[in-house]
Amino acid sequence: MKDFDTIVVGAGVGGCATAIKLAQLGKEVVLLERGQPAGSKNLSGGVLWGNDLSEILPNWQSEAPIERIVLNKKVGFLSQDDATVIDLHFEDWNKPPYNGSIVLRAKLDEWLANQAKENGVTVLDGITVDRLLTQDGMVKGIESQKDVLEAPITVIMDGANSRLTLEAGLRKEKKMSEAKSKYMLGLKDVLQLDKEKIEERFALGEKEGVAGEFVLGNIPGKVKAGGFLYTNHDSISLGVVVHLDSLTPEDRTYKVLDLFKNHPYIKRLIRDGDSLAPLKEYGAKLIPEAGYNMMPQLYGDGFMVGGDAAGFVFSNGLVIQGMNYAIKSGLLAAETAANAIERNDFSRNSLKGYQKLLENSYVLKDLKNFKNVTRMTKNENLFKKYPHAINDGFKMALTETGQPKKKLYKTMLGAFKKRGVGMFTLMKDGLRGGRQL
Amino acid sequence: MKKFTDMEEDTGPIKNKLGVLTYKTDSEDRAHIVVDGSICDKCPHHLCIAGCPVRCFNFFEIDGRPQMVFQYEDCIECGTCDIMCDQGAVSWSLPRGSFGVAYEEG
Repeated sequence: MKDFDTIVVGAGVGGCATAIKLAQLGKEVVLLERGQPAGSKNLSGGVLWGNDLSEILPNWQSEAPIERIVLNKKVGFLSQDDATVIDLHFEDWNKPPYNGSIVLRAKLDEWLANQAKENGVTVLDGITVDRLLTQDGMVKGIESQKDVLEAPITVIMDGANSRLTLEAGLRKEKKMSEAKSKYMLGLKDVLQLDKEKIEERFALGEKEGVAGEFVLGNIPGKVKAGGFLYTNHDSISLGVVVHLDSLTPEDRTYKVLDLFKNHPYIKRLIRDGDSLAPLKEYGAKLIPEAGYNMMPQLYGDGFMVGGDAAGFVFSNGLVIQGMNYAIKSGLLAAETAANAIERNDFSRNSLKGYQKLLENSYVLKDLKNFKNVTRMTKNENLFKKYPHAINDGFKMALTETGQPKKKLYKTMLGAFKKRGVGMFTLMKDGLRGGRQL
Repeated sequence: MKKFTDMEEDTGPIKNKLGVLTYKTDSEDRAHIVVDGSICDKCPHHLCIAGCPVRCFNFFEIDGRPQMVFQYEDCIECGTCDIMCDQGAVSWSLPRGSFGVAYEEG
């Protein structure tokens, strides 16, 4: 007995996109979400890049709860006390369709779940799905607290810590501990700061925002971590992303965030009066980073997997994008599901179109193109030597000492050499990094 | 191994931060994560402590014996401990629907 045409597990941006698209194609969809309300379990750094949602919600950029539009982007290298930051300002980013939207997920995803309802999706929140329901090797629905919900297709969008793909044996790993090198942990403070102060401090107009990403050279030991800063409407999202396989027993992930917050450059950006802006919320989430090399089985008899659960995250050390990939994969899963429903064939053969659609879209094209990028993003020099050498070099070149000046390239090379990066390593890393980017 | 004497300095600031979070805590017999402390006794790394963003794991002395103490109540359900523990001490599952942490910003 089928209860619905399709079950979608997880009301993140990917699950909501799947459900809305299917409902718009006239299918009976149920969207299951363990948080209550939908959105309350969801967290991310904060920028939704691109405009994929316009396919199902043409006016989302003016109607959704978007904190600010990315006008200014910063890419920085932080050493112990210094910072070298590239400041990028593209005036076009300030015009629709906006390139980057800074969001807070509890708000955005609740709105999306409401849009799903308005489009005819049955949204059930406060439901944790325990396992997939299988019969003769076909996924026939889900089980929750011994209750059963049946549908010929289940779309698994249960996020980075996907218990469903793990439980069903769809992943490359049998246990999460085998995936340590494939995950980062994102930790984030939302700091309360008046709208006027944010706009004054970052030279922003109404609705305009800053997205900053930083390589953190100020973390002791072997820890590899990056930092981010996004301006919300009246708060700042400030967080770090820590490579889990770089942690040693002496480290603490939450102390990495403290070190980022207390860096002299960052501290000035998040102050409120004489102290740091007060904490509004704190949270953390796993980030799949291995992309192409960590994908689970993406489809099978009666199911498809998308979003973070499928490892659809693009990371090249300076940007981490997941939401756009989740939405795009959701739209493609919906398209595939709708076709399968028309054909009344829910076998893996019928659903393999999903993989084809992914391969022809930017989702798998990007992940495939950048599949070896972790060689660069996990390069120890990127965290432990380059941020220091870059800052030392510029500082030496720009600080007056009363001595004759050297040429810039000589000063820079000297700085790199002093940090243990010789010409040969520089060329090797440069070539290797350059090729991956 | 972490010493008991480090405890307050180590955990105070992070535990203070959790005051801004909203939780709906399930009863102890329904704890979504169960840690088998007898396995932790022999663990060479305790990387769970290094990874957990809300310091749910503490290895300290009770009744003259160092042991792992796990607080499921503070958990924000990220899943890091299940990745960091390669000893088989962590049994991880999601809280029942609507239980656990509830973000308002996210």
